[in-house]
Amino acid sequence: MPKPGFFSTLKGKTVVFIIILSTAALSTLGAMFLHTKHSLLSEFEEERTGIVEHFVIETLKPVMLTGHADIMSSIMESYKRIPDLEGLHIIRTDGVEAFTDGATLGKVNRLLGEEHFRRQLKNPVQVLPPDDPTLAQVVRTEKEKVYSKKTDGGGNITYLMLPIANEPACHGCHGSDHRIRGVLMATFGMTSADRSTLTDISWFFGIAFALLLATAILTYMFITRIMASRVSSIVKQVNTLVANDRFDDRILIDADDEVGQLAIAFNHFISSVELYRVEETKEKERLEKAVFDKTKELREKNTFIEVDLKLASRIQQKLMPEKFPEYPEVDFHAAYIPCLHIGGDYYDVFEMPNRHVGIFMADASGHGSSAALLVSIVKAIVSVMAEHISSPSYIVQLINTTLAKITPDDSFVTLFYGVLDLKTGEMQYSLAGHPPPLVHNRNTGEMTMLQINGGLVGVFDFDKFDDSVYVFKGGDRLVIYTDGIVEACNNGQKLMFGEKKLVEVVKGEKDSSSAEMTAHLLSSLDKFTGGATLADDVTLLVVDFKKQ
Amino acid sequence: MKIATRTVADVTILDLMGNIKSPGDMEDFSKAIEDELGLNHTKLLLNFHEVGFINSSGLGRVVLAAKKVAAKAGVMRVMNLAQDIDDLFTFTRLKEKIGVFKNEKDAVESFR
Repeated sequence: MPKPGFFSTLKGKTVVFIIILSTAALSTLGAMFLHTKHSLLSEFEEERTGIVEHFVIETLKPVMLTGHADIMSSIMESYKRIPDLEGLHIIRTDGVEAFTDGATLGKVNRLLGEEHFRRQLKNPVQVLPPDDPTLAQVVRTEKEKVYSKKTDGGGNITYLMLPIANEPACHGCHGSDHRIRGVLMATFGMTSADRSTLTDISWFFGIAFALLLATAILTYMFITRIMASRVSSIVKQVNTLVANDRFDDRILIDADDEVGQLAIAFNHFISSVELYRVEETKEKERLEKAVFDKTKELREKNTFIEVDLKLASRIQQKLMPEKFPEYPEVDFHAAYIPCLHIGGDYYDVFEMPNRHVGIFMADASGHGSSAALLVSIVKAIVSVMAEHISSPSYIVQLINTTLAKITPDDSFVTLFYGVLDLKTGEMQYSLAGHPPPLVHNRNTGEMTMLQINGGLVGVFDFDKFDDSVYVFKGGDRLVIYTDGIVEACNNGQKLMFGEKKLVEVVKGEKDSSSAEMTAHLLSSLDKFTGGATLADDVTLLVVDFKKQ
Repeated sequence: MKIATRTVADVTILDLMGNIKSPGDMEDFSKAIEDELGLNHTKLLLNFHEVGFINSSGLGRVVLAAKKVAAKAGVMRVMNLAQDIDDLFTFTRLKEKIGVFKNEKDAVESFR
């Protein structure tokens, strides 16, 4: 998450707010200060002008009329009474300062008791320009004039201009000419009291300014600290609440301000979370119950299916011979191991007329209930027809025609069917897609495979099947099996038990009974597969002809 | 199992690799056949060179494939069978219904 800029934070916004507020307040304060100062200056100027006018009219003018011999001393005496007189010039009508000789200035300074006039001029000084309009006005009108000018420092200087003319009392120093000869120009600044007042005002506003600024800073610190503290408190409460998984708790609301509103909003949020959790828990419980119920239902159905399959398995076992017919010439033994409860293998040995014995084995493709159903049909046909038809191939043909109509296209049955004449030892048989049975003579060790090629049963209804004949000798052992034996894989699923190993076991058990050989073969098979579950049904039927 | 398809002349050759024994193998095989028939490829040659084992169910799928191809007026042949599988095709007489060849050249020629 990107870090927000300072002015996007609460603290930043507070700073901006206080800066704006402070600026407004300080601007107002500054404006008030300037206004007050201006008012005071105007007031001072008015007052000063009044004093000067009074001085000129009441004091200076009469003195001036007494004659210029005493003018200077009179002026100076008066001047002493006028505070804050900043300058005094007696200038001629052309603006040049009069009485610039050192003796006069020395006299003036002595009178003043201080060196107000330091200039020691040998040449006249141009105080005002010759065409100064104010000077010209005063000379022309012969009336005094008082006016103010702003100084470079921002203050006001009041000027007093008083026309000077030769009066009769002048003792004829200028003859009878009484024209205006010059002007007395005095300049006045503020009084020390005025300055003090202005300084006080400045101090007052300065202190007010500083106090306002300090107040703004303190306010900022106070607000941010208070807010930060309260927000931190909320964060701490939230963390504690989450860490302890206590969504039923609530955050303490200490005020109905923005931070309080935040706490209220969060409380609403955690209420929603708690509600959601409650709903989630209910939904979870509901789902768990549904799963439990479904599992129970499936278990019950599975139990039903298991029971059903066990029943089917028992029925299928009943389809196989419980015991074999007993004859002095031959001995039968069989093993059947379905890879599931019910299998697709089937074998039978049944008596036939004239000391004939029917020997049958079938294997439906695949395994399980569909395969079991197919071999049940095969069993039914054989049971009904074998008694009436002696030719094995004819029976196989009949089975093929029947199954071709009803089996799926990828399903078929392989089978072996032989009819053994016990009187002659001759067996007429048909082989349809089934692994070739082995005949091992235990006397000579000769191994024969009953090779006859017949198509898969139930695939093509037009298929034809043939009979073949084999005549058994004394000591022969006929081994009929399904592909579940030779196609059984080892644990690594790489090797198959195979026909070669089967032949080896059969040969190795020449002195064993059919039951012992069967047991040994199954044991070898189990050892080979490592006890793994069989991938296909395993069926073995052994027919031993007595050794002669 | 894995199945690669290639064409020689107008014959589609399916190179089968692996055993044909599990339900998954059966599905792969059947789907490959269906796909080719869907493309109207009706001259199919199954190459068993890399097939080590086929069980009865697998054999049933081969039979089914042959039937489906025939239903589309097509021809299906097999080649390069291992000895065990060749024996299986022999004693089930499938050799009589499905042409079995020892090499690709003869097999492709047989479609002409």
